[in-house]
Amino acid sequence: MIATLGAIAIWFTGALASFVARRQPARAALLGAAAAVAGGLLGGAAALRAIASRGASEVFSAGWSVPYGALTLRLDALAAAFLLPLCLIGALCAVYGVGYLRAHEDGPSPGASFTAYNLLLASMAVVTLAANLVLLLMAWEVMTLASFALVVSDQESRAARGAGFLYLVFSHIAAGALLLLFILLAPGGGSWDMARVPAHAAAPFAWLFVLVLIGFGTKAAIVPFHVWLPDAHAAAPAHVSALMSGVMITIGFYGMARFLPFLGPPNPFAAFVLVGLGAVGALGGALLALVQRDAKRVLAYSTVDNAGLVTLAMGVGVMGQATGAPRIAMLGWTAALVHVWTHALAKPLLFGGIGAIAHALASRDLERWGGVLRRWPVLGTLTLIGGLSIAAIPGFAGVAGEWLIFRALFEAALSLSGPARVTALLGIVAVAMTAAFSVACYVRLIGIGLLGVPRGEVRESSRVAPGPAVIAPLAVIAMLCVTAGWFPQAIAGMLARPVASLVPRGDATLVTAMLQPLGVLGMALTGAFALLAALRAALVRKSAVREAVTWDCGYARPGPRMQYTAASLAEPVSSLFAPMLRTRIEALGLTGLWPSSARWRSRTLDQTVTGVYRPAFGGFSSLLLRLRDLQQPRVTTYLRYVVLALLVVLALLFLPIVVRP
Amino acid sequence: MERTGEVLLLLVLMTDFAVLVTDRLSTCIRIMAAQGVLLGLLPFASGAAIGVHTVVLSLGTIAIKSIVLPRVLSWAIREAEVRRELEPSIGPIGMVVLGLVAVGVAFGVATRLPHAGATVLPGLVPVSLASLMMGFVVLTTRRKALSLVIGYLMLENGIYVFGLTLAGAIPLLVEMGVLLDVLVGVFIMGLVVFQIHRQLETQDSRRLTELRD
Repeated sequence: MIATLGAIAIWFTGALASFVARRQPARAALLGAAAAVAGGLLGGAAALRAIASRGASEVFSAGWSVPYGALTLRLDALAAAFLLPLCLIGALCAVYGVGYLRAHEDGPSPGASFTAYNLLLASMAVVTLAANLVLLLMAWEVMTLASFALVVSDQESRAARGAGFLYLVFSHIAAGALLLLFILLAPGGGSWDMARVPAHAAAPFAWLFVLVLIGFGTKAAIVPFHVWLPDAHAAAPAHVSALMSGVMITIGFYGMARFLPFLGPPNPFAAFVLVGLGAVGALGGALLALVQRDAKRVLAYSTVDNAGLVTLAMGVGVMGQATGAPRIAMLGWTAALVHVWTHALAKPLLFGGIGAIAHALASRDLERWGGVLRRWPVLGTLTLIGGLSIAAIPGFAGVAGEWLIFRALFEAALSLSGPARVTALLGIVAVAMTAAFSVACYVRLIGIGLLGVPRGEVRESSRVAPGPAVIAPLAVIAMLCVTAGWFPQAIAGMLARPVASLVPRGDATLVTAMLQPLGVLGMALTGAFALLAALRAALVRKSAVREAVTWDCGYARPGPRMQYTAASLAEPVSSLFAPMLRTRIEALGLTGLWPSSARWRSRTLDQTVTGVYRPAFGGFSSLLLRLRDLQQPRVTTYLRYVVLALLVVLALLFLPIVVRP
Repeated sequence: MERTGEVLLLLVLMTDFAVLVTDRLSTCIRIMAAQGVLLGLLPFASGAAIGVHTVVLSLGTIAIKSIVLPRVLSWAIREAEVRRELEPSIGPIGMVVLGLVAVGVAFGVATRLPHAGATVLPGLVPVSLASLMMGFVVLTTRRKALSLVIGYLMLENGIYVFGLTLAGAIPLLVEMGVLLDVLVGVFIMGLVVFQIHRQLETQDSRRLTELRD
């Protein structure tokens, strides 16, 4: 526990140090990143030991003057499972951030950025460790505010301010739900420690479950509470998007995994809702990722997709618990945690790579990208590894989680009956389609963005070439991605104890045995590919290489703009799913015998935003605008309000609900 | 002793009614001064043990509420040259009706309050509430800024009477603090009223409409 406390203390010190040194940007960045790395190493070591050791959880406790509060931190297996990626990715993204912020001199100030960054790390760690509801809520709020500060840290950007506001609104709705949830769960009197939460909650299961969904699900980007995410991820600096997408999302899932058992015995209703929302999120996220033009929004919607998969896996786990099938429960929960881990590796890698490319190409618009792999081969390859991982190609990290989700769903479809079986079957369809769209999405991102030649401007200055501070952390993550792809059973083995704390009667060897062949397949695929690549290199070396037009089909002068576009690549899918996506196309066709110009433009908006939130928030705000009429310019009117308020309070005395001493 | 207390409380209520129906400001100030004396005598009749504490409280109340404050207010009306409330929005009959409603509500509510029966003098709580509400009646119906000061004083006096239910428990310093608070409040309001008059050549609070954002 000392190590964990030390890590939190280092992060706080780092936040303070980079704030103090904010006038010297270079020093502030170094101090902040050093603290993030040191804290990450210390906390990561503690988390590793907590995952590996068989002993009881470590507890630190101290008094706190806040009502119902206590500074109780507990490091058990489940907390460690979420603390480990937080420490690892937090440290690596900090190193990346130093390079990123140095390249963006007109961007966010490093001092402010690293202050918020270290605060975010510390608060997320406290959220995973807190064993007291008040402490958890407070750390949760610090986490929200620190990440908000990071989202809006590019002060010149109007989009960032809008995204930050949206994020803040959703976070506050979520925090309100959490507050309500904690009050309903709270033990009477004394400090609100989790250990003292009564076994039978005072409120009906459905209410509590909805509060958990809103409170934690907003942070976890579960549909329909994901709306803040695409804007926030697109607006934030790359290392912040990486940390938020890879780690902060998982904190929401941590909350769900931790609090679902408090609500009462596992409930099939909750399982159906989780599987349903997860399927919608996975499918919708994958489809929307496929049609985005902004490279960072592609990744953001891909995060919604993966969050949906984790939700679905949790739903299967709960279904297994509710129907008394420990095997399915075991598979579902393991799948959820494994996917959380692999996503925490692959997504920061992608955000890092894409962020560096966007800087070099001076645009985030996929239609202007191209030629990255040839110009910056290392950066391109690292991004490619990230894409392969998240598209669940065997031999890379992402495949293990999806494989386990499939296995869990098939087990459920074969052994359960009634609505559970139908749900599992629908889940299989959804996951299969999601996997396909996800592959298509990354084929598009890599194929259009990284191959070919640039379609737009390229910054030629030497400052643009990604430096070691950018490449090194990405290389470390990429190596971990490949290792995880070759030895998926090792990940499942590490997660055996955290899963056992959720599903006590499970058998961990089952999962390891299931994943072993997958690793062998991955190694074989990678080996075959390496062999082919070596063969090609050997063949190419013998002959001269020259650049030429592929097919000279009458194009006199083929230019970069005539390459296949991202929109065309997505078109078959987007027209197939037109009723769901509602892509708007503005076309100005060719007219006359000698047409001079034509335009074609497509835009796909998130239907939850245009269909649900925009009308709802619009109506709400026009309702609230009417309240302005209460503001009258007369003193006596205000005094009348006071009298009215007094009379209402006095009238409460006559109602039976008021508890009198 | 109890009868004396009840008579005093009745007189407090009657002075409140007198303020409601009076539109001459100097008369209102004189009535408030009289009410101050009544309030100063109340601690002796409220059933608490009589000691140095009670005497100081009583003398302080009389000094501030019936000597200092009336002088400040008289000075303010003399400087601002106002004599009476202009075009009252509700006539005397209406004001009496409102006052009666306030008293009715106060006595109705008082029975519901948790500590209503705990004091030796049961009338304290309802009278304090009635006085408070009649203060609000004045505040919401009158327009002259100085009339608002009078309403504010009535409201404060209501709170003072309520405080007497705890006279045994509240330390002297707190009470003196409360009295000082009233004094400072009225001073500030008097100065503001005077400044308003100087700046706008009027005392009609309806003209204070520029404050809206």
